[in-house]
Amino acid sequence: MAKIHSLSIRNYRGIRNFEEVFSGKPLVCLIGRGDSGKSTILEAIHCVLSPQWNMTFHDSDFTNCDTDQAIEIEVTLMDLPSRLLQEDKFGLYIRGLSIADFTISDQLEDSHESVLTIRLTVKKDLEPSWCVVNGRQEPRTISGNDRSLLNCFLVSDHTDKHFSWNRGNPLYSLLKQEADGAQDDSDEDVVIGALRGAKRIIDKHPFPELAEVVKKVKESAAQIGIDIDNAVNTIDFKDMMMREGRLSLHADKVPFRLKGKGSKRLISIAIQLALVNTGGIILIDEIEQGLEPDRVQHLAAVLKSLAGGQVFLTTHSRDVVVELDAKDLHVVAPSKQSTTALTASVQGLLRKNPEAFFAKKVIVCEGATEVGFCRVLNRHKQSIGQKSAAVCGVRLADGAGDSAFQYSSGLSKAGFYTLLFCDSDLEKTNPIPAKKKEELASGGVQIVDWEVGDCLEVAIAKELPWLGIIELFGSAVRLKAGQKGISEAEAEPRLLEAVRQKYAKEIPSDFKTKEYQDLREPIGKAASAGSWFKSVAGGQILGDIVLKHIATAKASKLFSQLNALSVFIDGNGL
Amino acid sequence: MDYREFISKDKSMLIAPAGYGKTHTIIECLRVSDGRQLVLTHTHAGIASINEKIRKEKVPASKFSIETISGFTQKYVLAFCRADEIPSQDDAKAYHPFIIRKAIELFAMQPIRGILKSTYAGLFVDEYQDCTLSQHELVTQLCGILPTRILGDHMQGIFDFNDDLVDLTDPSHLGGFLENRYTLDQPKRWEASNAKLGEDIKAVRGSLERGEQIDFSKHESIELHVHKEIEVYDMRSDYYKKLGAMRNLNGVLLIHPDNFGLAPRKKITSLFNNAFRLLESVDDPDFYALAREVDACKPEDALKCVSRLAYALFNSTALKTWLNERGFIRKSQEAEQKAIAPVRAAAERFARSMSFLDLATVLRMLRRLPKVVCYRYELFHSLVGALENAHHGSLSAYESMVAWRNKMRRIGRKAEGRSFGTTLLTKGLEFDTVVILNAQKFTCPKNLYVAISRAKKRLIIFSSTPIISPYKLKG
Repeated sequence: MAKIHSLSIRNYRGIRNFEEVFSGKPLVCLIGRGDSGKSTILEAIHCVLSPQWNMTFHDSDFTNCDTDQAIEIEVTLMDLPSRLLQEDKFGLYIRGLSIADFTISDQLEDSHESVLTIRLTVKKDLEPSWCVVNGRQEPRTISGNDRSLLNCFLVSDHTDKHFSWNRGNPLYSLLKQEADGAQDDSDEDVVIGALRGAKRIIDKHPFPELAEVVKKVKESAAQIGIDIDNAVNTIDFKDMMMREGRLSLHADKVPFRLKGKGSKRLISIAIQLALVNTGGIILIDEIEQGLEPDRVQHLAAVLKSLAGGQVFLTTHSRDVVVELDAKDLHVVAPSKQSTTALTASVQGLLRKNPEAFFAKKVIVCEGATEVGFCRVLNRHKQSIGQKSAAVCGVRLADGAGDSAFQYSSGLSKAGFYTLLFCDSDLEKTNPIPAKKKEELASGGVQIVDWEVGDCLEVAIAKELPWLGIIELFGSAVRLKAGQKGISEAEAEPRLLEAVRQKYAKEIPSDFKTKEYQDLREPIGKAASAGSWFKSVAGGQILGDIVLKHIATAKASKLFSQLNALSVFIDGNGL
Repeated sequence: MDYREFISKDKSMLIAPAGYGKTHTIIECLRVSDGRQLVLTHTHAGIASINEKIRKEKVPASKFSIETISGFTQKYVLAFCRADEIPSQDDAKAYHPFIIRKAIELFAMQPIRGILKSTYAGLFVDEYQDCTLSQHELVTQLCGILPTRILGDHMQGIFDFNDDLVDLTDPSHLGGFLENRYTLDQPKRWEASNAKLGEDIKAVRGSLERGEQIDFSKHESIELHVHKEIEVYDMRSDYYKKLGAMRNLNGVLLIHPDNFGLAPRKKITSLFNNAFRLLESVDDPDFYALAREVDACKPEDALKCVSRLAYALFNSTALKTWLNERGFIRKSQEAEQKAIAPVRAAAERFARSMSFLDLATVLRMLRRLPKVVCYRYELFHSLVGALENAHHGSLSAYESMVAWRNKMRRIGRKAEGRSFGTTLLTKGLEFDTVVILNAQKFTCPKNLYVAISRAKKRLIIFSSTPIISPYKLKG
C-alpha cells in the first residue's frame, strides 16, 4: 500500500536540500553520473518508510558531518492503507492533496485526496524519531509496526536477510498480507506456530539409535528408586530458538543466502513484487547489478508493466533505460535541489541512443556526417594531449535531421549541457529553423552552425585551403568508386558532372592545381546534394581533411565554430 | 428481539423505556456485529454505565468505541480546524454550537468520510431523545457513511432548555428510521428487585403517554402519602416525620419538581440538618466563576476574596458572625476570638503567600467553624480539590477546575447515600428508593416519568392529592 507523492531531504549525506513531487508515479528511474545522489535518495526514502526501529546513524550521515543541522527526511504518501487512516491511528492527521495542481493543504476540502506526511528526524544525539506531521497538530510518533503497513523495502547489497521470516522482512509482510482478510488482532505468530509444529514432529521421532542406551539408564534409575519411564529424546527448546528469523528459505538444503549475487537480488525483488502487487514501494539500487543484459532488460520490462505499487530504481545501464519511457526517467544532478524528469520529446533518442542519458554533456549532431566529424575531432584532441570526450562525460547523439532540435531542447531541460551541431542550409527560405535555434540558445543550448544558407560541406568548401578541397574531392571519388564498385577513373567524371551542374559552366581542367574561388561553393553543394559524405565514415574522412588544414584558416568561421566544439568537450580550443 | 436483523438495516431505531434492557441490546448487537462499532451517547455517566456492563459481558475492546457526541465531534474539529477559528471553551454558548456545525461540515467531506469508513463498521446513538436538532443533523450526516441505529425513549426527552430537541415520533425528523422501528416492552430492571413496581411504573407510563390523570392510590407497589406542601415545614407534622425517617435509609434519592435553582431544595434539606446532599449540575457556572475569582484575586484583596468564597459555599446565617464583605469581623468575646483566631491567621498567611494550598486550608477551616453548614458540598469539594491540584501542578485555579470537572464528568455520579436532586440532575441514575416531593407540582409528563422510573425497589410519593394531572406547562 501507499505511494510516494513527494519527498524532501535535508542534511542527509550528500544532499543538503532536496525536494521533489513524484505524485504517485508508478515507476521512477533515477539516472545520473556517479556521486550525483541517486542512492542517497533511495536510502533516504528507505530510512523514513522502513519498519526497522533500530536504525543506526553516524556523524557521517549528516551533510559534511555537520551534526548541528538535523537530518530531516519527509515523505508524503497517497493511496494509504485503510488501517493507517483509522481514527486511532493517523486518520485525524491526514492532509488534503489537490488533484488539480498536486499541492498539499492542511485545510481539507471535499475534493481532496487523503495524504499523510511522515518525517524522520535525526539530531545530534543520533536517535532517529519518526513522526506523522501536519500544519495543524503536534507531530505524532509512528511506530515501526505501523510503518510496516506501508510495505516499503530496499533491495541493496544486503539482501540476505530478505530470505528469513523476521518481522519487518518482506516475507513476513507478505504472510501478514495473506492473513489480513480476517484482520489479525490475535497475537499468535504464524511463523512461531509453524516452528512449534516442526518441533512436535521432532518430538515424535523415536531416535532408535539411542533407544538401547536410554533403556539401560531407565533400568538403572529404577534400581535406585527413581522412575524415569517417560524419558524420550528430542531437541531442547533452548537449542531451537523460537524466533521468526530462525526460519529462512532454502534451495533444497542450501540456504538462499549462499546463492549468487544476481540471483539473490532477483529473488529478493520477486518476493517484493509479490507484495507490491497489492500496493507497496520497492526501492532497487543499481538494478543491473549481477544481472546479464537480457535478464536486466526483462526485469525492467516487468517492473514497467506492474499494476499496483510504486517502484524506485537507480541504474547505470542502457539496457534498463531502453525498456522505459522517457517520462519514467529522472535525472539526478549533485548541485540541483530536485531531479528533472525527461519529457516525451527525447523518447526517440532514448531508444536509439540511451547512452546519451548517462552523460554529463551531449553533442546533438544533425546527422551521421556530423557524428563522424566529431569523432575525428575527439581523436585529434587526444593526439595533441587534450582530454577525450569519454573522460569529460561527453556523449554524441545522432539527431537524425529534424529531431535534433527536439532532442537538444529535451536534454537541455533535463539538465544536460547540450550543444547542437547543425547545418544552416534551410534558413534562407524558411524562417522556422532560425527561430528554433534562437529558442534553444536562450534555453542554454550551445549552437554550432554556419552562415545562413550553408550546410557543413559548403561551409568547409568555402573556407578550407584549396589543397584541402582537392583532397576532399579525391576522397569523395574514392568513396564513390568503393560504393558503386567502379574504378576511380569511372567515378571521377560522375562527380565532376555533379559539380558542373551547380557551377553552371565548364570546369577548368587545371582546377586541381589552381585555385578557382567561384568553384568552392559548387563543390560544397554537389557534395551535400550527392551525399558524398553522408555517413559516419564519410564524416570521419571529412573531419580528417578539415583538421589537417584548419590551422591555416584560423580567421574563418569554420575555425571558430570547430574551436567552440572543442572547447565544449574539455575547455580546450583547437 | 432479533439483533442481527436490527443491525442489518442502514437505518433502524429502538424505543425502550428506562430499565427495559436498552444497554443490554446494544451489547448484544456489538457481540454479533462485524468490525468496530461507534457508540455515541450524551453524558460521561452514560458512557460509564455502558462501559461497566460491557466489561461484565466481556465484549472484546476491538469491537466498539464509546464516546459522547460532544467528545467525538470535538476530536474531529480540534484535529481539522485552525485553533484561531475555534471559540474559547468557556464560552459554551459559542463553543458547542460551533463544534457541532463544524463537525457537520467536516463529515460532508470525502477524505474525512474515508477515515470514518476505515475506522468503523456501524454507528449506535444512545439516548436519542436528548439529541438537539443540530445533533440530529450531525447523525443524519453520519447515516450516509455508516449504518446507523438510534436508541431512545421519547418519554425521557427532557433536556429542552437551549435548543429544540428531536421528536422521536415525527416522520419529518426520523424518516427512514421509523420504517425500522423496534420496541422493548419488558421492565427487566425490576424483575429481581420488585417486579410489581416495574409493572406499576409501566402502567403509569401508559397513562402519561395517553394524557390521562394519574391516581397513585391505585398502584399498590407505590407508597403514597397525601400531605399539604406546607406541612413539611412543621416539625410536628407527619410529612416532616415521614420524610425525616428517610435519613436512615441508604441509597435514597429525593426528587423535587422544581428543576431550576438550588434554593427550594436548600430550604428543605436545612430542615433535616443537611442530611440530604444537594446534587449540582455538572456544568454549574459557579464552579468556574469561583475558580476565576481566585485567579483574579490580588494580595490586597485576599481577605475579601476569602469572604466572597465563604458566602458562596456556606450558610450565610452562620457566616454573619465571622465575616463581612471586607473580611473578618473583630470579635470582643474571648470564646469567639479563640474560635476564629487560627482561621484568621491562616487567611493572613494566604494573603502573604497567595498560595492555592493556603487558601484551600482556609476554606477547610471555615467549614469546621461552629454552626457553619455546607449546602453545596460538591462545589466546596471541587474547589478545594482543584486548588490543591493547581498548587501541585502549577496550573491556574481555573485550569485545574476544568480538569477536575472533566474528571467528575467521566466518573459520573455515585448513586449512594442520600441525595437530593431534580429530574434533570438524576436522569440516567438508579436508586433503591426514590422519594418524590410535591408530586402534584409536576407540570410535564416526561419529567414525572423520569422521576418515578429512577426507583429500583421503593417508590414513595408525597403529594397534596392522590390524583394528579401533570400536563399544564408553566407560563
